[in-house]
Amino acid sequence: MLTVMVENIAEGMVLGRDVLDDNSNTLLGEGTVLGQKHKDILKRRGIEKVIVREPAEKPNETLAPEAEVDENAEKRMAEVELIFSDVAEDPLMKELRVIALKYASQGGLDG
Amino acid sequence: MADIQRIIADITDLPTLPDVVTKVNQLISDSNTSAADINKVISRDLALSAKILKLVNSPFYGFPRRITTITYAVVILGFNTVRNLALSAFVFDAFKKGSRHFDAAAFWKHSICTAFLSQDLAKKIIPGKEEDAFIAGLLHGVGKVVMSQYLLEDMKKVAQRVEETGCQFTQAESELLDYNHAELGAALLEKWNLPEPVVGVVRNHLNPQPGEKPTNVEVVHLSNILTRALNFGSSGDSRIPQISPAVWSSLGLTWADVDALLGQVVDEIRKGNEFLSMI
Repeated sequence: MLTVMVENIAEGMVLGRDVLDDNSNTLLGEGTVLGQKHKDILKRRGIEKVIVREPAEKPNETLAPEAEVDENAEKRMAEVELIFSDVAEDPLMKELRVIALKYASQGGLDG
Repeated sequence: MADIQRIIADITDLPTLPDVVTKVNQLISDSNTSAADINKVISRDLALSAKILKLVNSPFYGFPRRITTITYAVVILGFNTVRNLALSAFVFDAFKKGSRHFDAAAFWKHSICTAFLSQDLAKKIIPGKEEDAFIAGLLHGVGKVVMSQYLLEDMKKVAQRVEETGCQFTQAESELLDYNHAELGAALLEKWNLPEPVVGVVRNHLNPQPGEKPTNVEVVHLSNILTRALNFGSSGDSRIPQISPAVWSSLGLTWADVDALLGQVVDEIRKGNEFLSMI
């Protein structure tokens, strides 16, 4: 595993550990293939460093196959976080964000 | 302030509402209309007839035998669904040109989802108004595709501002233009002689001023934001607008209601919504 500063994340790096927000919710899950959109989210959330896999490193062996991270779900949830990033403190939008994240984690809508 | 009617009038090749849609609208408002009357009008439009038959024979309706006549299809689908289908088929076709600055197909996905949410929400909050809600939800942002297709420089300026700053489309509009897409869309619908309640929703959905009882303005305001929360399609930016607290109070919903409403529409879209297949 390597610790990298968010500004040094290269396209295609793979998260080696979950990134949690202030409330211990998973913001980005282990196994997420990082891109510019994820960097933007991490910066916006004030996260400075993340742990990524070394290039030849295998996924965390402790994860059972059935617990494999749904990378698309992570991507969809990250997109929802981005959509809500300007209104995250609004009381009504906080409630809606929770529902939106639920649908994103459960498969979302294609498109 | 721009003369919005003048802007619309100056677009010489702006599509006009086809006769078939106008006539179906007229027939539906007449209580003596029969399915056979609607059949006479729709059968003259072969493309629309094919779309209606495709819809009624889709797995969504699940009829065991193939339905081959428009009259029977109209009976099954109902007059209003047929009218909505005719209008949708027309607008998707008339305003399908996207550009580097605006993805028209993604925009129509957003609009269809908003239409279904508006319809379902109106059915719950203001029963009897759900058909207007569908049309207003479908067309709430039509001004954006008018800009994308006919007012290219304006759309380019707005889209570039959105891209550079990450602001909302409406904020960029207010900073750069002396009109907005809601006024533009409403002017187009007036020109098409769509009912005033629908035109009013399109004009006011960005800044609703709730009265004593909720209306489709509040319904479409919320449905537009709920569609953004589902991240389905695109409305020209990547930031969700805030729900007006006054609208939220006016509608009298709980978050469990919203969750159920979204679940219903998500299920419908996942099953394969035939409106989406027309884009």
